[in-house]
Amino acid sequence: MTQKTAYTMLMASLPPHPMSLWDVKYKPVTRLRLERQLKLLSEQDSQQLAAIESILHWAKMQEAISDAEIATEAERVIKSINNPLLQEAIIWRLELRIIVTAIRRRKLNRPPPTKQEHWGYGQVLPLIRNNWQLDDFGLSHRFPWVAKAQDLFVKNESMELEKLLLNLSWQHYEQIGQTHYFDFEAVVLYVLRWDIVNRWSQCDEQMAMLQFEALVNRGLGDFLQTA
Amino acid sequence: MNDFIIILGWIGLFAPMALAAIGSVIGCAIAGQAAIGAMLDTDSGYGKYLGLSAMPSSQVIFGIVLMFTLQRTVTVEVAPGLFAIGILSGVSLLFSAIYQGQCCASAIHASKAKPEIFGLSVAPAAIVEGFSVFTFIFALVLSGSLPQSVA
Repeated sequence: MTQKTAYTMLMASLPPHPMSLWDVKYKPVTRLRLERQLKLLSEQDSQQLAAIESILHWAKMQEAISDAEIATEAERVIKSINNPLLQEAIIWRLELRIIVTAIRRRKLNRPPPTKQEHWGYGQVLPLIRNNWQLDDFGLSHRFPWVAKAQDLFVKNESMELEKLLLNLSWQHYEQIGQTHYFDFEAVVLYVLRWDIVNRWSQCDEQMAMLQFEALVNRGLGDFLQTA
Repeated sequence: MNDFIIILGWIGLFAPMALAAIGSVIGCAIAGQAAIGAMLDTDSGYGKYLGLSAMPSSQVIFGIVLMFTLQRTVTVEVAPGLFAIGILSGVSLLFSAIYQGQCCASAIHASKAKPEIFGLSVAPAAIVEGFSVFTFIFALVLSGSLPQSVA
């Protein structure tokens, strides 16, 4: 009982995420405030959350780390977590990434990974290797979005692909968190969804900066030419 | 053997009050934590959050009334009845208070984001309250059939 409602105050103090990722106009809470609220976590839970974020959040990964090192670290983190739901959440995201990596790798005309190559984590690795020639790597029954992702990749629609992948993760976290409201699982899923919102809002920010730069250049065009 | 039955009678006599109090403690604590959390994220409506968080305290009142209703000279004849009614009503009140606390916490969490649903969000907690009222009423009815004292 205590465990089920251990973080009632913490969860109640956080503004809820919107129903749809595309409804997000701004982040529900700043990272600074989120970090302040997360101080209510126990030491052990806080470390687990940091470990989960370190393997799922690109910005928190060390630079110049190889695929093999990422896979080894992911395996270590998954083994250290004694919570099936959180393990499932991590594995799902890692498998999503490994499928996208495979699509990208194939587009670059690189050969399929060998059996010895340690290039990711998940049960999909042997399936991808064995079905390299198939469009969907034979994964459509389990991951119905693979064909669409492949199509977007071929058409070079990177923005649409990014939207698809972010939305998949968003919906998956929402789905698996439906029976968790005030426990550690709810906190972790909240933070992982916050990371998605953050990433999406940064996408918009970058686009806005590019548009702003283009406008400035257009406005200054004549002056720049005469200068 | 008779002493053991008498002890059971005394346990049954105090059970509704004690178990309901435990339930109310847990329920109010859960809802109270949610209320405090909501206060950190909002600028108004503190009173309604606190009021809602006190909702699971009704079970302990039911428990007190039941205890006084069951109170009589504990004899071998009445002790089994006291034990059965007391323990079962106590357990029922205990769980209803805990789960009502969780309903209240969810109501606070939901109405914080959408204040217009405050009334509706309280409905599940009110339904849980209804079940504890059933326990209370029927325990009262059954306690009336227990003899006051047997010489």
